[in-house]
Amino acid sequence: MRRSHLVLLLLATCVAAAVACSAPRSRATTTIGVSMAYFDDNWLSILRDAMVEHGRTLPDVQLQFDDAQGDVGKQLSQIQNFIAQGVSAIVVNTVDSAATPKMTRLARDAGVPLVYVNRTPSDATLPDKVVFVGSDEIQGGTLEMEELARQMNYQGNVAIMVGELATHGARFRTKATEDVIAKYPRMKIVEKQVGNWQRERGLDLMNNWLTAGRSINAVASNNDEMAIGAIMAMQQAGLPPGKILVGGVDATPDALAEVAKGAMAVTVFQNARGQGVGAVDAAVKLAKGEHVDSFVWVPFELVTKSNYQSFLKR
Amino acid sequence: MKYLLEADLIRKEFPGVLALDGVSLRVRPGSVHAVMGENGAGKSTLMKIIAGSYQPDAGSICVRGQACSLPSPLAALNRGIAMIHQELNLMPPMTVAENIWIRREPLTRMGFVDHRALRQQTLDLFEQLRIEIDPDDEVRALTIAERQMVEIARAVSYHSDILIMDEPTSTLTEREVEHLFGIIAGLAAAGKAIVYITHRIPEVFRIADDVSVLRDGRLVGTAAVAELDSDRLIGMMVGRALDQLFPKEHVPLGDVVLSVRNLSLAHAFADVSFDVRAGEILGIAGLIGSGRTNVAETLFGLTPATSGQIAINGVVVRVDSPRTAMRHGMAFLTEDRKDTGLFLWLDVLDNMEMAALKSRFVRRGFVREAEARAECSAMAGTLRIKTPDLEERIENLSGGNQQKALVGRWLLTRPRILLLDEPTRGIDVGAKAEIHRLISQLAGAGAAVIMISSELPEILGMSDRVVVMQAGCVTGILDRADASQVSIMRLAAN
Amino acid sequence: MSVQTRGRRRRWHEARILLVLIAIALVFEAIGWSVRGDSFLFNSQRLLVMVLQVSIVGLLAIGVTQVIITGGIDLSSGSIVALSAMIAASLAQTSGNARAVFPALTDLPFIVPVLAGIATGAAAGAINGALIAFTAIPPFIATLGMMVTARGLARYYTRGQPISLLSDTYTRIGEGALPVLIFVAAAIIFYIALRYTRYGKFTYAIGANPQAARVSGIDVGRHLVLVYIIAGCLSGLGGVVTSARAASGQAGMGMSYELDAIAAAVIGGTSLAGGIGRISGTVIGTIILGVMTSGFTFIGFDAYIQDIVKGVVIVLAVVADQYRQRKRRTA
Repeated sequence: MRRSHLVLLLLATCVAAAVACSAPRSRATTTIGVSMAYFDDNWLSILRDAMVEHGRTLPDVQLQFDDAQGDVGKQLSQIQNFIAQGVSAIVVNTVDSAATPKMTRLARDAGVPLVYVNRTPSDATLPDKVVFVGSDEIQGGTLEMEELARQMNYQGNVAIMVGELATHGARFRTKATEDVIAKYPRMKIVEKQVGNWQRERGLDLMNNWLTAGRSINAVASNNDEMAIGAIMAMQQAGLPPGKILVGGVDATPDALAEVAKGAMAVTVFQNARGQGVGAVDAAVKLAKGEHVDSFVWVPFELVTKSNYQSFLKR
Repeated sequence: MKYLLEADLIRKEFPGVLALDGVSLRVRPGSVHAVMGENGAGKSTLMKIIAGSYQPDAGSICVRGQACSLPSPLAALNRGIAMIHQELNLMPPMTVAENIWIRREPLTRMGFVDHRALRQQTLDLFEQLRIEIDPDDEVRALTIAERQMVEIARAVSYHSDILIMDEPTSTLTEREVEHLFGIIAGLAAAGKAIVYITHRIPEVFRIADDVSVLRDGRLVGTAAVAELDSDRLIGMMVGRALDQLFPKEHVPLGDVVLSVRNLSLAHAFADVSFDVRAGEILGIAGLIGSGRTNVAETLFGLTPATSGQIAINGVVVRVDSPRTAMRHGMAFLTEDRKDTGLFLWLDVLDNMEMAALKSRFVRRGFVREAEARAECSAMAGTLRIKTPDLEERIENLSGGNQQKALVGRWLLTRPRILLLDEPTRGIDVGAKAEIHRLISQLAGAGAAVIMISSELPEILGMSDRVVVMQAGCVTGILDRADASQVSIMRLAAN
Repeated sequence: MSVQTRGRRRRWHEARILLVLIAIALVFEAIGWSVRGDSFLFNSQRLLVMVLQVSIVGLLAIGVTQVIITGGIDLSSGSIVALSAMIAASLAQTSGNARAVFPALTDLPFIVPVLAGIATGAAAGAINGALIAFTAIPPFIATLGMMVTARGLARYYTRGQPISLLSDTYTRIGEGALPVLIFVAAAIIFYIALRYTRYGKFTYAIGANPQAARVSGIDVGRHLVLVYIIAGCLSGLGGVVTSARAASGQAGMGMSYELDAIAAAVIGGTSLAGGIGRISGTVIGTIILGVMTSGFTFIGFDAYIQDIVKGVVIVLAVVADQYRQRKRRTA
């Protein structure tokens, strides 16, 4: 008896909350559903903010965000929910690029335009009304490693910090890094371990490497967070900044601060804002029935001490 | 074939303990063979060897005249030996029929379980054993007695002709015991052999044909029951003749310590009133389900009363938790050692000091280890608890010694009012006598004792007065002089 | 029947887990010589790193050990790390930070975020404990709920934004060997608490038999709440140390730490059935995890296979311990 009352009360609360949340949304004519891989990823949150801000400047466009929390299954059901809800277009930042053919089919069958942002879909070809807005991960890894190689005078030992295994970025950035090193006979990969994109893991890895005693001239990290972890480990071990060159990808504010201090040799700016704005624009265009190219490339940009200032505001 | 089962010169050694030293047991077909002995005498070890749970270090086992090895309980089962455990081995959420035929369910041609055939073959089995239980009931809904019937039926369903029963009646009511004995007699008449472990001497004379007595891992002797009397049997068990099982000393009674007026607990008991004086032992008798345990639990604050009054030394008090009860000087030895008494995985010391810890052995949160140890050690000595040391896990002690440790736990709290619920259940004669002597001494030292027991001789022997309960009501309070088995049963079962 | 007997048994029990630890370390030592031509163990810096990288998991494991001894389980510790890391970090920011969470609350003394982080953990633990003690919700479900909720709160707190630019006095907590010292201090405190105090006795009693504990006059509900609050505090402290160590607060911190913590406790001989377990075992279990992580990195083991081996070793360590225990009991 009491329990059923409680359940009713809970239900009523949920319904009320849902109505309250959805009320202003119904005024918009173009609703775009956005499924993000993670809300709490540093870089992705910049991408998300760019979408939010850009969305506000567009009249009659309403963005609805969902967090897939790194779960492909959750992401698929979010997409299905968007479709059922009748959104005008969907933007997906995929958790796992391997699952994109399924997502592509879902959207195509429902006739809802779909925009992949940031993480490259694995589909061989993208059908009409499905596009990708992002940067080429291979290009990012190549820019980072080429710059590190240049600063190393094309010789020395490199340690690689890999992001979460089985993610697109980790696979391609690592491959690009390895390809660049393979080009130069006097360079060698001496360590390669997984840091799961996380600062603490980067810190632990670097600590372990430093105690292993093998000489390392450069650390090529798949992202900035792990690179910052490596820098912190060096600081704590009493190594002067720059003694070991550290490179990352993403150009987050924290990373730019390290570049400014000379502790980080290089990072690569992946234009979160550009990708976010591009994705929203593409989605709006597709929703209106206009044509958009299958691949919208937003180039990576190299960041070093000489030019970091121009990225501080971006 | 003279013997269905012959175990010869079985020897089993555990580290530091010689559990069985050349014990032999011969069981005739169509007989009930009782096995007796104090706890720790080696009965359970012997049974576990016969049932394939343990391997003997030396000795041989013959079933139907054939020597065999029994490496596992399944091997024993295949030889026709089934054990009905003291702790029942059933799966409570499954139905009766499923429990009996698990692994051997009749299947349809599709490979699904054929529930109709399953039910029918269970009914056939129950008819043969004169058991009346619906095969589709879930086991968790059954009483303990019914669960035991299911275990027996399961054993019979394996076509076992040697059934080992470990204290099957310890938790049954009179009527259930009668039913069980009927089934046992039927099985024996059908040519099966029943090995029957028990502590209850009257049961031996009631159903057993032969009896073997173990003591300290040795066989004292095997005899036909017809040639024995109770005193000789007790003599075999303890190695000395017990002339006084229930040594209640006569002590002058003091003032009323505990006074209970119109105590009631919804759905359990109503309007219970009695007084207990210092130095008095008040027995509470009644059949299982009469509410006697509920009264003790309410007095101790486990289930606070819905109405009525409890007064201690003339002052009305509210007892709403065990802690308040303990503050008022109460101690409660519960009925079920394993469920509500022992911390099985903790050592003897921890088990003994736990109740008194807060009030006596702690300073600023830290346990005063040396003092607690000294007191527990002294108490263990007084109670003659047999244990290698106080760090032994209590799990490894015999039932009687476990019970003594629990008594010790409460004595360490220096109680003025002792509630004892079945203080001697499932323990051997020697330990029983010691606990009786102890209770008597406590009363002599001025404690007020309330003792609940299912054993009428115990009630009659120990109590100054007897409260008889039936269906949640007090049906009479008898003085020692007026109390007899007949007068109590008349009040308890009418 | 003397103090010596007790001590002897205790050491013997820990010796078995210690043996597993030594065996694992020796395997890496052997492989280290053949692969790297260098010693794995004889490097004080590396020995520190081994413990350093698991000191936060170790803090959680100390708490979860106590919870498991009561017969419960705590799945929320990793998420509480994230939540308290976020809250502590938000109160540890320096002024002149354009992206400060509370621009008015910068440059606070470092004790403020530390206490806030621990208090966050305590509050989460109190909710866990109250749900378990006073409703019929099993610990698994109650702490599973807290695991999801606390992670959600950590994300909601700044809408997923990481918190950085923390004060130097605060980040110093996570530098050098300090996390290890905090871990060791907590281990010693709770080793003593479990072994020598009323709190410890009651914890074991409740795990061994809650009904008997109640009959013995122990307020089981109140004690359970206390145990979960302590576990929460340790997780909160873990969050503080994590955020100080990484010099930032991120909602993804402590991900799956709760499982590592449970693994450490169980490897160390804590029984999931309750009533059995020691902090000393848990510390060794934690170090086993650290040795494996460092060992894999040292020998440059393929990252794809590391987790597989780690999982197998965890199960084998527990199986070996169980097997020996069973042998001892039936023998």
